[in-house]
Amino acid sequence: MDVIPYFLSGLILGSIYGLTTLGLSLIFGVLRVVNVAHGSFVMLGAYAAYFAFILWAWPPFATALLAFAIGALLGYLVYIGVIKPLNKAGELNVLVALFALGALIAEIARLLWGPDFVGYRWNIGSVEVAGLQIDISKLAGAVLALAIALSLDLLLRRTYFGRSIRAVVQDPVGAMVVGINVDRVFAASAAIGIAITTVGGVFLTLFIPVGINPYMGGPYTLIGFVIAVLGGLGSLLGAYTAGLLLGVIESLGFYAFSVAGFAEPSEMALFLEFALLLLVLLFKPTGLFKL
Amino acid sequence: MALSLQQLSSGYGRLQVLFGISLEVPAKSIISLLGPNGAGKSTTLWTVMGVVRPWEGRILLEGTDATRVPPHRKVELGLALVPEGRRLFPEMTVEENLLMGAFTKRAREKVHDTLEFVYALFPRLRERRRQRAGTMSGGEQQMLAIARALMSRPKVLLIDEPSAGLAPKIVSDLFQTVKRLKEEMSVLLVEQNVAAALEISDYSYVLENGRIVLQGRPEELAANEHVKKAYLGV
Repeated sequence: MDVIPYFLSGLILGSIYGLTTLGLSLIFGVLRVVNVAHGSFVMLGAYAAYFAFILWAWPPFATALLAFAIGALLGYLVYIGVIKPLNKAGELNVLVALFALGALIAEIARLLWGPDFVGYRWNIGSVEVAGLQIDISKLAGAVLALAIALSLDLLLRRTYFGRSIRAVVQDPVGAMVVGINVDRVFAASAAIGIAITTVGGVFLTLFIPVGINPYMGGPYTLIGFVIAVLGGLGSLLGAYTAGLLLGVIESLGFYAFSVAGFAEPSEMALFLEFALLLLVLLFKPTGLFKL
Repeated sequence: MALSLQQLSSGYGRLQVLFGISLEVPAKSIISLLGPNGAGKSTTLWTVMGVVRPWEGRILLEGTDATRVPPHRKVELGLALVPEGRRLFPEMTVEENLLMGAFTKRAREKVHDTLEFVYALFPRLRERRRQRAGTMSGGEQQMLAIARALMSRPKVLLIDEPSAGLAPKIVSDLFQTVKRLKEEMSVLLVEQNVAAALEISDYSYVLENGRIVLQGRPEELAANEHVKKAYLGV
């Protein structure tokens, strides 16, 4: 067995991890709020991909646009309805409310769509890379995820709107006195952040052909935290890069643990990720990619 | 009148800080607001800017009521604040900070002219324009904070404690620059360094415990026994 295919498929999965975490990282950077409902929005994106595919035969990349719109609307509502009114009462209140919201969304999903695992398969062929058959759909998903991450970074650097977001991240009071409508930046960041999270959920379905379920979000919230911490919370390209890294670690870990004969190699790979999180928190709490 | 405050009261939560302050800033003048730590000087500026909500009274900007106008709209109307602690964007370069200062639509249109104007006013900033703001000295950061506020092309500039933490020589250079601003705009200057502030002011107010206790022309205040004892150390 060769390591390279595992490395490659780790990179491809990691690109999707990176994408789903961008939203978490953006929301934390701007609003200083940890979106503990993250996984539930990933789940909504996954269901959107599933229903659009089986009902209207939409390819997931078309659904991504719809998911972005739904996510943006939900993100805006979350800001107006939860984060803004509770922010003055303290961080813990927002955290608890978002946790409750995440659980509520999962329960509503269960009421509407049932508790069973569902899934779909979008097969558009495969290509051979370094001796490994890779689904074109997965490869395209990874490339698109990279493109989205880079465009978001460019948006933040090159546009007035993006600069206003960066200004709020660096000093909200300074942003206010130069004439930035900080409240609007907060609302827009929540909307874009959750929109991207939802799109991440759509892309994720390419990798989990039978893994869509109302409660699927939990692990992704955890993985999201690991990635965001690795990348340095609030650093977008850091989050994406950390996503790649985590995908590779997960994939290589799975390989190593299976070769070593462990009964549950994927569980062990997950253990490896959290061990890494612990180490980073202990020795480099600002993240691997932030000075 | 460029800016006038009428019986303005405000505070934080239930804590009242300002008790009915009235003051006037005529066009093209430097007005200083003096007083000890905790008197409410910064709170006055935050309230004028709209960051702290006014409880009572009115804020008039060029004769128009701006009491309830939020901060970002105030900047558009021609008010700019150089806040306490400077509040620069530390990860951005000097020039990026200045460009952020010209964020409002009104300022954006003339951003190149304004940039030339502030670079002429602070040549040091032109030399340092590629440097990250967070890595500059205190004096340079204060220059940048003032320059960033000027980028919005204000009619009234509010400056909070520009002398804080700076060496006397740097303070006097900075105050000479502030004095030159009078040709273009009005300045409301909050200072604890009373001697330096009186030198460049046209008129001054003394704030104690959230109330204006004294006001007058600089030479009058400098001759006042209370001011001499409490603020000038003579």
